[in-house]
Amino acid sequence: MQNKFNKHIYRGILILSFIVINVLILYGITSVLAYLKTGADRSTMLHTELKSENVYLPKITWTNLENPGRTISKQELKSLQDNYLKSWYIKNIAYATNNPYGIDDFYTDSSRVPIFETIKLNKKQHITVDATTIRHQPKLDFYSEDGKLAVITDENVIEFQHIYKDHKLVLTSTDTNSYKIILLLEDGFWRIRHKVKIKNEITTDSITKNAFSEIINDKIIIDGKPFITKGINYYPQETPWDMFGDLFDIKIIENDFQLIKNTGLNSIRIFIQYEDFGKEQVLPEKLQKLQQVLDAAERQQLKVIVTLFDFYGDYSVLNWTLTHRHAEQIVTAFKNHKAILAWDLKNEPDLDFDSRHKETVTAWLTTLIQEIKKFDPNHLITIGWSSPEAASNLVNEVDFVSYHYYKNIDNFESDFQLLKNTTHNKPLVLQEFGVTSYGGFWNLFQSSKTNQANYHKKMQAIFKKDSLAFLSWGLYDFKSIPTSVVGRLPWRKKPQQFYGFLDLDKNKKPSFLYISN
Amino acid sequence: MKKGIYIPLLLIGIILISAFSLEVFQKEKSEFSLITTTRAFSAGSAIEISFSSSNKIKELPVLVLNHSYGSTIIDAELKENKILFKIPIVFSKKTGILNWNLISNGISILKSSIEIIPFISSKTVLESYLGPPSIQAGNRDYSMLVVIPTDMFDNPLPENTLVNINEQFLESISTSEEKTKDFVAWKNIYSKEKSGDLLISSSCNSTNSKELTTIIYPSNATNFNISFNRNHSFADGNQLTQLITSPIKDEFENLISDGTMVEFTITNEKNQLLKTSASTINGIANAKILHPDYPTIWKVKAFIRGLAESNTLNIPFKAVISDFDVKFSKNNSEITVGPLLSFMNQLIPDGALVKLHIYEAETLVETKTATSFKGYVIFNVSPAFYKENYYSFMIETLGISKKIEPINYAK
Repeated sequence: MQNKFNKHIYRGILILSFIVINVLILYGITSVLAYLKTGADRSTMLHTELKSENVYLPKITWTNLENPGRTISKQELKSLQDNYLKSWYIKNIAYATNNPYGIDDFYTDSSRVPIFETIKLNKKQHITVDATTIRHQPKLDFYSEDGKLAVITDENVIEFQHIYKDHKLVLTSTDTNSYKIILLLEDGFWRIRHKVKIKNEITTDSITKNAFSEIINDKIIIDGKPFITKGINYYPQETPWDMFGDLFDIKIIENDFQLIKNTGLNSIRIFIQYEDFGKEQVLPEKLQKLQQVLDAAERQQLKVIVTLFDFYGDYSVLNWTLTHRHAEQIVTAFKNHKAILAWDLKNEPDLDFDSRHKETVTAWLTTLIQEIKKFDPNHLITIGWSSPEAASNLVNEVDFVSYHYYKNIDNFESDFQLLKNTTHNKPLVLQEFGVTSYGGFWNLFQSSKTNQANYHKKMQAIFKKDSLAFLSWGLYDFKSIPTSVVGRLPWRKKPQQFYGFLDLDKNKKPSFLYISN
Repeated sequence: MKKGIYIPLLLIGIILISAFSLEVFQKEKSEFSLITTTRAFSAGSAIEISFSSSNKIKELPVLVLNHSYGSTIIDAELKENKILFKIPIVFSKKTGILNWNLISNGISILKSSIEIIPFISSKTVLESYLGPPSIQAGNRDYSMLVVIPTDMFDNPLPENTLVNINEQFLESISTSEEKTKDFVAWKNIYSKEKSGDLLISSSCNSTNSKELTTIIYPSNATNFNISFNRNHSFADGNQLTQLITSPIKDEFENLISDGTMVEFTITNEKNQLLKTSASTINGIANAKILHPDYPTIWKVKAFIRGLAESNTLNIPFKAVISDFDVKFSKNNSEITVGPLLSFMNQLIPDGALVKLHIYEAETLVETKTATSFKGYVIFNVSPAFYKENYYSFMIETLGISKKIEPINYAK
C-alpha cells in the first residue's frame, strides 16, 4: 500500500517535472527568438542619436583656418572640433579606467592600436592616468577638397595629468605639448589617423593688463593707497545662500549696501553658487543680476570679493574644463568692473581634502588660477581657506591669502603670527569670523547677544591695533538655513542662524557697535 | 643588427657625456644624472635611457613617459651601477617627442625629452585618398589626391619626402613630383576637355600605390536644334509626332551624359501650353506627342532646364475632315453623327471626340460629348428631359462645326 502510494508520488513528480522542463525550454526558445528579432534601430547608423551633452570643454581657439586645400565652413569646423575634442575626452577616460570603450569611434583602425597597447601595458602594471587638457590652439594646415581629410597642428596644448600606480599618486604634471594630427572623416565621425607630438612653437602671450589694484609687500594698494579690507559677508536676509534666485531684489540689496557703508565698512563678500549660475553654461540672467549687485556696490563705494564655485564639490580631473568655462564666462563678463576687489575661487576648499584628495583639489585650484588670470588679469585672486593652518596652501599662487577663524579668540593672535610667518609677506585677509548669539537648547545655552558683542569688541580691538583686514560673518540673522549649508542637524543649523549683527527683525544687536573699528 | 648600431653610439655617448654629466651633477646637486646623450632615435629601435647615481640607491626611481598617444610608468633596471630604463616598444615605435620624467621617492628629479623619428629605411607604406570621385570636363574642375607616406610602424615620413604622382588620360601619361608637408603630399588633378576615366597612381621610395580612378563627366549642355518627324500632317488626334534633338554636346564637343532630361514645350494657336519630355541617350532625346484633333500650328521649343535651349519649330496640322452628316431619328430623340470620313475617305479611327451643344432659344442647355466608334456617334436626346419646345443644335468635331436650325420637339 505504502509502496503503491510512493509510486504515485514519484509518477506525479516525474510528470510534473517533465511539464515544467518543457515549459522552461519553450520559454527559453521563445525568448531567444524574441531577442533575435529585435535588431538595432537602423537610424543608429547615422549616429543621430548621439547626445550632444557638454562633457568636455577645454578652451579652444583656432589660430588659423587658411589652408591650401578647401575652405572650411563653420558647420564643418564645428563637427571637426567637436570630434577632435571628444577624441581627447574618450582617450582620457580610457586611460583613467584602462577600458578602451569608445576609442573606436574617434581613432582609426591603425591609430587605435598604440592606445590599446598602452592600455594593456598600464592595466598589467595597475597604472591609471587621470588627465585633461585645458587649452587647445589648433590651426588648420590642410583640408582636402572632398572634405574627408584634415591636418591640424594643435599648438601648446596645456595638459594636466595625475598618474597613479597601484592607486598611489606617482606624478602630477602640467605640460605644454604640441601635436600634429591627421583626421579622416569616416562614417560621420572625424577620427584621428595620425597623431605626432612635435616641438612647441614658442609663443608669447599678449595679455593687456588694466589692474585696479596691486600687491606691494603685504599690502593691497588701490589708487595708490593701501587698502585695508574692512568688510562683511553678505546675504540678503530673506534669501540666504540664494542671493541670485527668484526673490532677487536689487532695492533691498542696495539698501543693505548703504547700511553697510554707513557703519564704516568698505567691503563685502558675496557668493556665486556653481549650479545656480548654470554650471558650464552660465545663465545670462544671473550675470545680469550680478552686474546689478556690483553696480550697486560701486555706487556705495564698496569693494566686493566674489566667491566662485560655492557648493561645487566634484573636482574630478575629467570635468575640470567645465568649471573653467563657468569661471571664464563670469570673470570675462566683469573683468573691467571696478567694484570687484578679488575673485575668491572657492569657499573653504580644504574641507574637501579628505573626500576628494588634497592633490586633486589643490591642482584644480592652481589650474583654475592660471585660467582665470588669462581671462581676467585685472583683479586679484584669493582662496577662502577655512583656517589659518589651511591658508598656507598655494600661498605663491594667490595674490593675497584669505583665511577663516572660528576657533577660540584667545589663540587668534598666535595663530595669526604663525600664518604670517609661513606666507612670505603676502597680504592676509581674515575673510570670515564671528560667533553666534544663539543661546538655546541646541548649544546648551552657551552663547548670548552680550557674548557675541564681547567677541566682536575683542576682535575689533586686535584688528585696530595691528591694522588687520577682516570680513565678519555676517550682517543678518536668518530665518532658515538651507540644508546644503550645514546639514539637517538642529545643533548645527540653529546656531548658524544667529551670526548676524542685525536680528530677525532687522534690529541692531549689541554686537552692532563693534561691526567695524 | 639594430643593437649592433646602437652599442657604439651609446659608447660614444657615454664618452661624450662623462665630463658633461659631472657638470650637471654639480649644478643640479641631484642624486641622479643622465647618461644617455642621444636625443633622437629611429622608431622601432631599442631605446634605453640610463642614469648614473652619485649616492647609493636606496629605492630605484621610476620613469614616467608621455608620448603622442598616452602615458605610462616604467621601472628601472640596475646594471653595472647604471640605472637603466627600457622604453617599451609601444612607445618606441611611434614617432614624436617622448617626454620623460624621473621620479624618485615621489619627487620629480629630472625631466627632459627624446625624439623618435620615422624609420625611413623601412619599407614605405602609402595611403592615398582621391576625391571627389567624379568631375566635370573642362579645365575648371579637379579631384584632389592626398598621399600619406608612412614607415613600417605607421608613422608619417618627415617633411619634404618626395612622392611621385602619375596620371593617365587617353594617350597621355604624365608624372609629377610633390613633397610632403604636414605629413601629406597632395596634388589637384585637373579635368581634361574630353570626358572619360582618369587614372591616378603614386609612388614613394619605390613603393607603389594602387590605381585610383576619377571619372570625367561631360560638362554642361550647350544650345541645340530640334526637328520633328510624323506620319502625316493631319490633325487626327491619333497619330504621334516625334520630336528629336540634334546630338547635344557640351562646350568641348563631348556628348552630354545619358539621361539628361530634355523638356519640349509646345504652344498652340489658342496659346495653350503642352509639354512632353525625354531623356537623352547618346546625346539625343526623342519625345513623342499625340496629334491635335483640330487644325492648328504648334510652336515647339526644347529646354534643358537652366542650361540650354533649342531653336523654335513650327509644326502645322491640317484638318482631317471637311464635312459630316447628321441624322435625326426616333422622333428626333436620336441624333446620329457620321459617317466621319478622314483624309482618304476612310472611317476615322475610333475615339474621335464629338461634342453636341443643345440650345433652347439661343441659350445653351447642355453639352453632350461622345467618342466615335466605327465612324459614328449616336446621341440620345431624351424626351424626359427635353419637353415640347424648339431646340437648336451645334455639333463640333475635329475642328469643324455644324449648326442645325431649331427643331420643334412638339409631337
